Amino acid sequence: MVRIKRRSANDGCFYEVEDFDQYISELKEHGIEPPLVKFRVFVSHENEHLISHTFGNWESQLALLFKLSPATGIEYKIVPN
Amino acid sequence: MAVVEYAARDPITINFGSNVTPQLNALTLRPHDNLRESAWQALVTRPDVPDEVLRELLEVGLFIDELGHRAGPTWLLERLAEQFKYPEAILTLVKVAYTNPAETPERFELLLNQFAKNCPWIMESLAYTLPSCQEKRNGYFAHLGADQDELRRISETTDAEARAKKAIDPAEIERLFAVQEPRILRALADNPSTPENLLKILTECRGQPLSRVIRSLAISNLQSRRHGTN
Repeated sequence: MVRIKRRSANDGCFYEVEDFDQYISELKEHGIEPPLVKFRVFVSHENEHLISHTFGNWESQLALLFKLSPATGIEYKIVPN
Repeated sequence: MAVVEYAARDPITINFGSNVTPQLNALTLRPHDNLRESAWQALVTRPDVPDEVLRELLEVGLFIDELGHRAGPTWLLERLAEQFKYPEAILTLVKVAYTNPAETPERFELLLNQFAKNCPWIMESLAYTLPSCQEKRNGYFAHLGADQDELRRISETTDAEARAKKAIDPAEIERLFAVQEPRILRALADNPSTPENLLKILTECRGQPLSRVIRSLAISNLQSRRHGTN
């Protein structure tokens, strides 16, 4: 299970994988090319709303940024920091 | 080893703040354009995505396929070509250098030296592409091997085809017609300046590649003259 931490900021949220090493191992185990460097993302509330409106479920859209989706077989959860 | 590298660096922040709100708004306004399931893929393929977002995604190694299919900016294509050896990015860079008059023959030469050896398909693609000047074509020819005469011939045909599309001098049109090369005949069949006697011959064109399209273009060309629409 990959846990993605959500931390609120002024006008949006930061998202970051809780245990990056475990995340990399999971990706590799599932044959997914891991990212080249450690990263986090910031998404403004407005953009989150726009994405949800057009593409549906926000959490699944966010997970795609971390190369995670039900199709990969890797479980994930977005948790408050 | 990889774990140590990941831990040793501060995380890169990919910023999807107000910098990309106009682009996401545009996606929202035209939802039928969003055939992709991922908002990020749809965003990355937009030509107006800010450079800093492209740079951050590249740094992290996300959406490399989508980045590789972009037409630019040049710095991005160069990084994708050098770091990721991404084929489409290499091809775009080389083709732009070949076709854009603003790019020098030296720059084209440099890119060929850098990539042509390991990407032989570049040479094939360039054979069908019209250079912005003869010096670039000469540079292209110089990179062709002894066993690549066919590509040289195709490149020359590409040049003749471009001339056949625009030729207005009857003598030149006659000369191009005499070559009897299908791609050149197709261009002549569609050229408003091709004399009617040649077009009539082209309406009977059979038994060679592109025959059907040559006949169809010649017939349509003749008809539009009779109806005064040319």
